[in-house]
Amino acid sequence: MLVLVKNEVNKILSKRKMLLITVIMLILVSLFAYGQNYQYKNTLNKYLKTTSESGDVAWQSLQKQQIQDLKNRLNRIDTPELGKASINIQIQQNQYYLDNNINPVTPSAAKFSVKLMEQSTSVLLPLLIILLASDSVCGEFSTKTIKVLLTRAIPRWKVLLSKYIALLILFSIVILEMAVLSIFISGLLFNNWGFYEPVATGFNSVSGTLDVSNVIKVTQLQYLILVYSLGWFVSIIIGTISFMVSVLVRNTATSIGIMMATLVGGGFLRLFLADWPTIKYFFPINLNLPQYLTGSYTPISGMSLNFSMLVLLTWGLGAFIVSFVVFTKQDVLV
Amino acid sequence: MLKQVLLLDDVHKTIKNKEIVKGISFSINAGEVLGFLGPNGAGKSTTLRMIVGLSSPTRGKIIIDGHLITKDYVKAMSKVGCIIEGPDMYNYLSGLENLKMLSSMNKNVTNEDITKVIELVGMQNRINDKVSTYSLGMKQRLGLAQALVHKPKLLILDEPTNGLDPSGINEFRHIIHDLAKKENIAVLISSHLISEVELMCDTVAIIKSGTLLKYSSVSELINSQEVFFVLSDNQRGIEILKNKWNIDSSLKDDRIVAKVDISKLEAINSSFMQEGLMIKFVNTNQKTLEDLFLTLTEGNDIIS
Repeated sequence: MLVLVKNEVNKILSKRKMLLITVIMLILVSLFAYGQNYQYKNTLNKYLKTTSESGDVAWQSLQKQQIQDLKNRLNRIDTPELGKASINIQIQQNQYYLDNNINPVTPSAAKFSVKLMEQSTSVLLPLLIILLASDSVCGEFSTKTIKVLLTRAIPRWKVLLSKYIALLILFSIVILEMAVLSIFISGLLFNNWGFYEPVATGFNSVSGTLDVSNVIKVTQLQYLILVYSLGWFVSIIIGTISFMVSVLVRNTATSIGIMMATLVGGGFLRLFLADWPTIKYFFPINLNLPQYLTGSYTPISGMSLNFSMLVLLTWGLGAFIVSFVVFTKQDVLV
Repeated sequence: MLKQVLLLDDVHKTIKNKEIVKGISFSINAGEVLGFLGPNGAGKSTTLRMIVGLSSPTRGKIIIDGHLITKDYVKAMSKVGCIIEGPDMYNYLSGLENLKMLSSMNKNVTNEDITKVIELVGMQNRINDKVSTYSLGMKQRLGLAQALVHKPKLLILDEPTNGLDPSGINEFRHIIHDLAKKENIAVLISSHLISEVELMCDTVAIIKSGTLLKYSSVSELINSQEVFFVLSDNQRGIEILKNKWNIDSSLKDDRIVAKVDISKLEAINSSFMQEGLMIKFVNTNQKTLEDLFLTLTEGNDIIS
């Protein structure tokens, strides 16, 4: 089995797919980090009229001004009623940071990396994962090498399992790579690592007010690991589902297309059908796991971190079973 | 000692409500080379795919070296080496990497075995190049190497001489001959090149529209030929053939047409003389395997 997994990892590596993914990540991370830095300097300019380079800016006064800004917006007539609740929560959260001496403003490598993962779990990360997962089975069909692979003295489930394990290893590498790239690039750019700054997590919004009774303070490093673990979980689920699709359609382009359509379509669904409770069982709606940690995130009533993880896990298990049943039974006619 | 390596027993296959293979039975013994012939769409490839486990028969049994393929897949397949519909390899790897990867999926293949098989197929000069740079003939050689590296008892080759140059074909013929006679490997070759089959094979199975039309040894096929006789009394001649030789014959114009084993022709002729008949004309209709194939598979419609 170990030999089989090694073979599969070798195949993916020699196709240079990982290189492509690394390059995509490198470009995006650099762009985001640059953008973040630029935005931060703009904010400093706007509120404090300084462009201090050092890490110890007067963030407290910045935070106070932002709270004032939000309060002004709350009192304006043209602010829709719906938006007011979330502004209220934001004010309370900012106040909490101020009271507990937590700096949410100054960018650091840790904060940037967390933000990157929070933003990528719904589209970017799944996209990279799909690129890897779709080709693993379909690639064998399109080059017809599936014939030599399946006529060795190895049961089919073992062949498929070795492919699956190889993918899991590569997904983990992708997540690690993303962490390392974003930490180093942003760390060098911001000149501020910030691993041991405190983070407050576990906010709970109840009818427009912020419940801080369950808030736990952790270090940025712990929070980073937590968020990336959630990202890892999401990528395994997405990987398993696109693995199933690729077993079913046997064509790389089609299976990437189907998965992309599902992901993007999921975003639209959330926008248009948020009132329809059934869509919360649809997997693309549930991908934004790290967002739950911020506290103010409930896309559809009834959704929580545990709920979403359970939905994703069910989808993943289902996809896993379907791929194995179909793959071991199907006739290979290429 | 003859040992049955492959046995097909009434194998059927239905794909999308079309019965592609309608009950095929044959067997191959160790050291025997079987040629598998048939027009396009006859069900050759489907049958071969079922033998190597790429698809499973709807009905019937396939037994390889005593193991039922549907039950003891691993044990059965460890005895089989094959090239199915062209030698498709991983283009982005070198020939050696391909061989190493594929042989790591079989038990007990040593580096020495790999080197030996590379020499056997004559690929030692280009084995470290990427497969994407290979010609079709070189891919065929690599395909053969991959099929032989784990020392199978049954070798299944689908169109193995495609893309080989004449000397390559000759070389290939020798390799197959040696494998069958010296190593006692059973070989199943499917091919369109009937002359190839005639030269290489001991037995031929001809299928059409999913049924087995002819299954016998090559020598028997070629020897039992149509012979024309023109005798002084054709009616008596037919009687003599029937009574004395147990051969059915028919009258066509002024000629008797009969299927006769060429080796018996002399004796038949002298028996006519003994009965007092004059032989005006005797001729054999020189039939090659190709003629036989064409007559058997006449009306070549792809099954619908």
